[in-house]
Amino acid sequence: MFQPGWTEPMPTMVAAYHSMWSLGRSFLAVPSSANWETTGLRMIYAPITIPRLVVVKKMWWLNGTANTSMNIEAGIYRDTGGFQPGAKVASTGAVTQGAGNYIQTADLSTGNAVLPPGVYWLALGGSVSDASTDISFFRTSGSSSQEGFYKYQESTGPQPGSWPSTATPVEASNSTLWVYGIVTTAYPL
Amino acid sequence: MSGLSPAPARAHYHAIWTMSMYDSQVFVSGIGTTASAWPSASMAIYVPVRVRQPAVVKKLAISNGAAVSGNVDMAVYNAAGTRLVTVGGTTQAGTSTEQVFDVTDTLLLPGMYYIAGVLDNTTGQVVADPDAAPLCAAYGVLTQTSAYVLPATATFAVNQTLAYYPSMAMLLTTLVA
Repeated sequence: MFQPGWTEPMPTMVAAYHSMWSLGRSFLAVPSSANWETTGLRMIYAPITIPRLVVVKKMWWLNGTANTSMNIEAGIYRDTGGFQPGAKVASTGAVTQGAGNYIQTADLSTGNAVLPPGVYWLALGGSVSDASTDISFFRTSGSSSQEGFYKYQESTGPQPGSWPSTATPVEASNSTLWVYGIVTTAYPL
Repeated sequence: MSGLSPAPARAHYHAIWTMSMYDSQVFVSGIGTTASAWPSASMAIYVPVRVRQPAVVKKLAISNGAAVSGNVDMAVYNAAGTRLVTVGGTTQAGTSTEQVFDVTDTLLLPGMYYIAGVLDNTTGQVVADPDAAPLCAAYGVLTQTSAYVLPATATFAVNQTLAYYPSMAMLLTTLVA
């Protein structure tokens, strides 16, 4: 994806799976709304490679068609050096999910985060009280034979607002590629 | 040389296209081949693109559909919303073909920019991905109402209902180190 000698611009937005700095998966199918992965709690991690200094201003995600104002959280974890999420950099804290079919953003609770080049993991999690239909996001489908390339989940689903300072990742049990990411300070809003 | 050409010190390229996976920042769903009417009269659509090495914009282009109508304008803005080069209002012309505009040669240094387009009506068609809202917002697309002709300074807005990702391009001379 990167060519020696090129100056990599700071994008305004980076997606966890569907952009140059992430898995690079194209939207082979147009993303659509789907229910969150499970009933109860779940927190997932998606790797991205940041090739230049970036200042992250917000997290973003695409709300699906239906949700019931459950709490969600999004954030950033460092890589351990072994292709696994490690220490938390920053996160939004618990945020009430907003309107359906809507791009929602939230500030990082500790202010803008400065990320030197390296591998990071973008995290997303939700708290579902009754059924997975309480939360929905846009997504594309993945494959259970590939999810180890691009996804981990926290061993026990922490409550939004109580995310661990250090990840305890296990292999993901769901291959869905959710549409979420970071907003940089280049975003003009 | 044994039939092999030496690699250039830097790769160079000749166009930046809103539907290229190399130029867009969040991958769009695919290459649009279907044209539809501009979604709102005089609504500017700003599509972010990545410029990875110094380049001179020579021309701007938009992909017209089977119906043309009224007037069109195109421009390039920097990330802060300052217009760098513009076509100015022009009659939309040429059905089912690209419409290419000569513009003042303009140097772009590496960074994020917006290719902007606007039609002053909702009859003229442009090739566009009709991805459901709010996907265009996730692609980083911004809009502005009452923006024909395109303004010197953009007033960017996130559009939560836009389902229209237009095919537009900058045609370049790339400066090779």
